[in-house]
Amino acid sequence: MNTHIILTCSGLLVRCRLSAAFLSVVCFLMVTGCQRAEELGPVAEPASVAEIRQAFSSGADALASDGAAIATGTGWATLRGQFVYDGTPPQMKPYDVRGEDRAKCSRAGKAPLQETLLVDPETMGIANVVIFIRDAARVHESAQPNDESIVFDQKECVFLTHVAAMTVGQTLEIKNSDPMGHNTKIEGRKNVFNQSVPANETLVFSPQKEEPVPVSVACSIHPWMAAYFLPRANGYHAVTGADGSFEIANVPAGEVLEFQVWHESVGARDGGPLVLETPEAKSLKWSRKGRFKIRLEENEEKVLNLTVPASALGG
Amino acid sequence: MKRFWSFLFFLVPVGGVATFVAAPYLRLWLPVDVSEHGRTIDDLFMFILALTGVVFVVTEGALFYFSWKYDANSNNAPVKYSHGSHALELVWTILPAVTLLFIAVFQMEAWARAKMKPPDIAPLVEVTGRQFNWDFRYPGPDNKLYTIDDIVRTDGRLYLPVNEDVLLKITSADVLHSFFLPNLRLKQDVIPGMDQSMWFKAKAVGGFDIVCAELCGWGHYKMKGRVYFLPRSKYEEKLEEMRQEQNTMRVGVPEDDDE
Amino acid sequence: MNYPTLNKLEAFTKLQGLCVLAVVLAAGCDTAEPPAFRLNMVEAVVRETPPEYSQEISDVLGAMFGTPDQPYALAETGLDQAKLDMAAGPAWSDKKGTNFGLYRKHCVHCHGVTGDGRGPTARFLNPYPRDYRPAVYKFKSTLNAARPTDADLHRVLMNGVPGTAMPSFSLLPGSEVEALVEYVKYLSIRGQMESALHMVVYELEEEEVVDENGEPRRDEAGEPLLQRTPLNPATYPEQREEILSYLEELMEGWNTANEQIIVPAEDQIPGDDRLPEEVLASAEAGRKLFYGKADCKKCHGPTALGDGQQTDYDNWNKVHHEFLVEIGRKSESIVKRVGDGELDKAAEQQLINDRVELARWQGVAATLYKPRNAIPRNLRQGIYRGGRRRIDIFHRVFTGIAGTPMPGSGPASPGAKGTLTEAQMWNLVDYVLSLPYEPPSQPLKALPVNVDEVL
Repeated sequence: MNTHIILTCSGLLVRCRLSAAFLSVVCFLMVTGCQRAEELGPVAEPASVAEIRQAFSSGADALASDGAAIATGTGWATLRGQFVYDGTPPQMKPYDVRGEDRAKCSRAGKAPLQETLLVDPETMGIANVVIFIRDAARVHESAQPNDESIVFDQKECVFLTHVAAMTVGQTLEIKNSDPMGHNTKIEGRKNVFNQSVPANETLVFSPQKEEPVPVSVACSIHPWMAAYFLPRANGYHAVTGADGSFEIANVPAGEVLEFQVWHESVGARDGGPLVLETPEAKSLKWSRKGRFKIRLEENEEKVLNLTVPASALGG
Repeated sequence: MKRFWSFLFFLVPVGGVATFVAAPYLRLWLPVDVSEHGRTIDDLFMFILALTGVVFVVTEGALFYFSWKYDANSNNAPVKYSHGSHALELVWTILPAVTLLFIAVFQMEAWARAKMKPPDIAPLVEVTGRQFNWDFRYPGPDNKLYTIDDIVRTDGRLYLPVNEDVLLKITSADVLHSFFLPNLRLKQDVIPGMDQSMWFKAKAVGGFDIVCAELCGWGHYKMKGRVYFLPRSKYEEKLEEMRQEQNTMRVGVPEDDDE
Repeated sequence: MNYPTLNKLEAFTKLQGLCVLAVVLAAGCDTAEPPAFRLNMVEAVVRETPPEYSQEISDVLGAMFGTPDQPYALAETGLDQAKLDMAAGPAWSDKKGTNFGLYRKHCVHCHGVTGDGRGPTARFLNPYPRDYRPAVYKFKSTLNAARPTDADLHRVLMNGVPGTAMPSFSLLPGSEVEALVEYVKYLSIRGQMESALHMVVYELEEEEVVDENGEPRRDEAGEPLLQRTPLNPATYPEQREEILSYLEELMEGWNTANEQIIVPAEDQIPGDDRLPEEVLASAEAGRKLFYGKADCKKCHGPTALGDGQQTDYDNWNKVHHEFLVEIGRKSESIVKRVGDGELDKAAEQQLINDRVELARWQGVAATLYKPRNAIPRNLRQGIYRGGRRRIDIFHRVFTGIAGTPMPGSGPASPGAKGTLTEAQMWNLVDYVLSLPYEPPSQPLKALPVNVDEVL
């Protein structure tokens, strides 16, 4: 098609004696401005469509496995470790605090700082890295869903828990410690919530389904407020503390576990998988989807200290 | 062919007259009139049609006659030039001017009744044109617009009483529209920021078209609606039904039919 | 908000007239291609789905949903094929006068062939037409997170959406409206499935490369070589199972919509025929909530003219807004690195890769419209987009408006704790309905803040 257009353009050039500059503009525009098929994605190919449709309509032979991992080992182990930043810790910008609540949303007259990438200057640990097991064949008693509740507070227009990971079955106590109203808006793939939280009151939210990745929590009244929320089916998840350390206890031993690692400052929107290419990550076969596999022996206490170069966090 | 052009142009008056003669039989004539005043409008229309029709036939005939008579291929006589006739100029200037003046005076009462002398009643409905729908606001039980009990309908169906004077308030939410009721022979342009009125008395029950007659954007053709004229009692029932629907505080939950 | 990428591209679109002319010249004799469903490329790039999967995702969707001319519904969707056939395809009528191609006749010029809200006239509308693909509908009787019921979609078609360019289709025969409701659901389900396929791809593990004997190939270190696993449910039955389980899950949302209808508690519903004084008293209580506990004034403004917090986005615009902001960030980073000069080999390769990716992103950005803020509703124009029935306004107050910043005041799920009681929500309904009226053609500008007076 493109060559077709260019040929026509050159044909016109000869016949109509239009200025070459004008025509090249037209040709350029046609190629860039009108030829958007590529940007709109490919169209289905009839041959593959027929083949796949056949597979869907004849698909009575259900598989025995429903995709769940099969338990192979016994006993339990513990994985702990630390994410350490390699580079100069970034300076966080202040939140873009606006509107009539400006005064109430500041600390000592200044807008609070963003928490996109928090690095502890002493230990160089990276806070708020999320690490969780993707699919566990066995779940230890201590990681089973329980009915504890998790307090998710907000004060001075900042969510005090920046990344809230929890187990489905627990309740999220959405608290407002501010003297003005907020609303809490969770836009998950499977958990959607948007309710107003009056001053000094607490609401509860019980997620019903797990999310594959952390999802955003926002406040529409104060749009700069940002936090993340991850409900999982079991307790095998951790968010690194201020010193970048984490611990996931009582994971199934004797079988291959696949961990997913996530951080907010990766990717375009709402964070993304943390991809490491360091030698230690290579030895864990760290994938481009931010996953690694590990097998622990019974009662093993594995310590993983991972160096994260600034470039892995969009730096 | 000699005089080809004169015969060709003769087809214009022939075709024109034939169209008008055949139109009523082809159901291309005016839509049925259900208004009280519509007859005046139709009579005016017919009168002006007859008047202009006669002028049309005469002038077209003259044109044909001259182009036939002075066809270049059939005439060898040299061209004669003339400075024209002062008297003739006067006649064919004054005659149309008088005719137009006559029409202006003759229709004045009809215009005044349709556009200048609203009945002294409160508007029954506020019609708002928006891209691309006609929205209707009834004043509700207190007969005052813009109060808590107004009934607002956006489903393109307007209900009005038959055999009664009706005053509509017409506004626009965005751009120019024109509220056109072909069966009532009424059309009112709507100008944003201005209140327009329209009044009439409908003579027949039934549903009739509402259209937008002012190109208001790409969705102009979508601004269709229906006006329904109902006897007073049915109209009040309808109003009550709409009022109750608007006050609905309950929701129907469909029974699951195990689909 | 200013988006440099978009401004440059908008300049291109202004010259589209020329483009169209040139394309007509170039392609005038070709027969037009049949309309095709297109992919959500913003989602594809934001979710970082490798480009090689685009064709495969398109093929799977084609297999599951057919084409705009020949829609297809798997039995699992429960969609009525006859209704889809009536709504899809080019517009025509049979001898009995039954109309076909209804979607293309009535809807496509705004909502687009794919239901992405990007038909040819969409760019000129404010608000932009709804993108059906996320299956999020604002005006419904169900809980915020739930799908709408058929009756909800039907209502929107019958009444239009006042305050927007969505007209009423109440004059169409009932069967045609029903066919359109079915087709809109079909486009939504297709859109949801497209999103789910990105998840399927995200979950795919790389597979081992095998030689002709079925033995895995190994690299020098003896590790098996890995390659991309294609998305093809015909050759990978486990993919088929996974796709069907996603479909089942999303269909559960549609099939249980009727169970998620918000039914107001009978004992808290105010009487049907209250005296004007009672309504006034209720509105007065609602006014206190508006400025107090419910905090409506934060967004709708102290004068209820919608002049409060105005800088947030709805979900549809937010995706595009953040996408464009990220493009800005990416190009900034590239410009900075080029300016720094002296890159080592790895950094140079990284720069090249980033530029290729940025070009891809900018191509997608060229198809977007400028994102708009979600402006809170001016409550004094008497325009209620989701309907003016008391129950409509109650539903908005109870559960907010899905996909927008508007939060709910009722419990988010049955049994949870609400911010307000239902009686209080009915007070708010009365207050909102009693607000003084401003004509839409002469809207009041924001009044000075009169918080002191109203509190």
